[in-house]
Amino acid sequence: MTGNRVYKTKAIVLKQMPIGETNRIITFYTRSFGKVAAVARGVRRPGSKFGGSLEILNHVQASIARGRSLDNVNECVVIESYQNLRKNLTAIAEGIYIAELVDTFGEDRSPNFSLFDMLLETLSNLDRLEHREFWILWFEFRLLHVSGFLPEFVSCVECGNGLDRTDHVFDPIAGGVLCPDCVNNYGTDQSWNVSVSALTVLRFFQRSLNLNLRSDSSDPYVDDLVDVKAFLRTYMRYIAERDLKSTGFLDLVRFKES
Amino acid sequence: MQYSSGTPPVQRLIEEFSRLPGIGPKSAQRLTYHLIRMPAEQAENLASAILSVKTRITLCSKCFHITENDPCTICSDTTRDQSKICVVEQPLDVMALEKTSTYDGLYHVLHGVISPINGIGPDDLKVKPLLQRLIDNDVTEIIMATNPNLEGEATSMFIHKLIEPSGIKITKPARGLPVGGDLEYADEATLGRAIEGRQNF
Repeated sequence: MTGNRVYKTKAIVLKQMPIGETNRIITFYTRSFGKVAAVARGVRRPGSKFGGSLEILNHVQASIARGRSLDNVNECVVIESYQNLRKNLTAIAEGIYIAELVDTFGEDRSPNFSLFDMLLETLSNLDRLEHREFWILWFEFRLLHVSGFLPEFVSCVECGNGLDRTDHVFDPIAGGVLCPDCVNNYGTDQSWNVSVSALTVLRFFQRSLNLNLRSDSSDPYVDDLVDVKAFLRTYMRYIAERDLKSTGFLDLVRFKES
Repeated sequence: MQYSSGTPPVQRLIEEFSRLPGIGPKSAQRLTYHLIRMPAEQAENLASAILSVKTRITLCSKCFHITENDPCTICSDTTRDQSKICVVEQPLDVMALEKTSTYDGLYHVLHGVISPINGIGPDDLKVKPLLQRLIDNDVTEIIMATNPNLEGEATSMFIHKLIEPSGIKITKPARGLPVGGDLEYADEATLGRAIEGRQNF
């Protein structure tokens, strides 16, 4: 065994799966190592040393030992457990949706500092319970950016010409919005219409990529997020090549809340 | 030549054992060779016990606890308080609560928990039959005894939202320090809840 058999890292708990009598496989998104799955032994016993530290969506400092097949969680201390979020059913569903996105787009053992920091920031924003839908869309947009899937929204992706303030056709294969002239030549059967209200928010996001949005940055947009939400959901589904599992419950609790 | 761990019936039993939770290939082999050395009568008893569990055990049509007779012994016990229903995730939770001998009401087993990341929603659980029980019976209190983790809490909150308009009292077991545990090892969430839910001395 080498000296660095045990590694310590900050991590967010993405999901858990029971294994054996009292163990769970914990999937972490770690700052230093990307996505890591490790076994937490005895975690289901009430007297476990882990206590509630390995709860989904906890921000933790974990000490993990490399194992032959799966790693083992040695110690885990909570840094932040987002208690406001946990008291609100819709916020829980939104947090789990974010966790599933990171589980889907995050790579095993390949660190992505931006993705980790975005995840932390979004959980803090959700914990404040204000404008949560906006912060989730902002997270989705930046997730596309850091994972290399961000399309073009400002000018036509084929000819590069500027676009009028109107509805346009989006083509995922072309990788962006097409101007009316290019639709006939380059549009495919995969393309769909994006409304001007969705494009307004998407362009605002594109301009803001290198900025830290403050809590009041969302104010002009929060009342008009239906189209951009639908757009990002469809595009995420196109990239993941499947429906994300947590969207069904998220839509159900959002509907019941409204 | 590749080593074979036995004849096909032996191999088949090893494979069947390895499907059980917590049994790896080595344990499956040990159990199989233990069974081979076992007297035939004991092995037959084991086989018939397994078969009778599968053929005679059903789910109670009221509370969905596992039972031989429908309704189960708890639901048909008239001395129990029929106005209280304790909602739990699994039949094993009913057994754990029954061991305490401190609860005399009825149960409702959900058979799972809302787990959005695994695609399990309320429709996959016994939530609708619970709501129907509340309409059909005179229930005054619901105790939400799901596990104290994120998915258990989300399930409780979801059911709470559905029942709340009916005005039925909804409670949940106290959260706090385990008996015999040390304060210094309690995590912040548990300790915080224990302080929030403190009682008069």
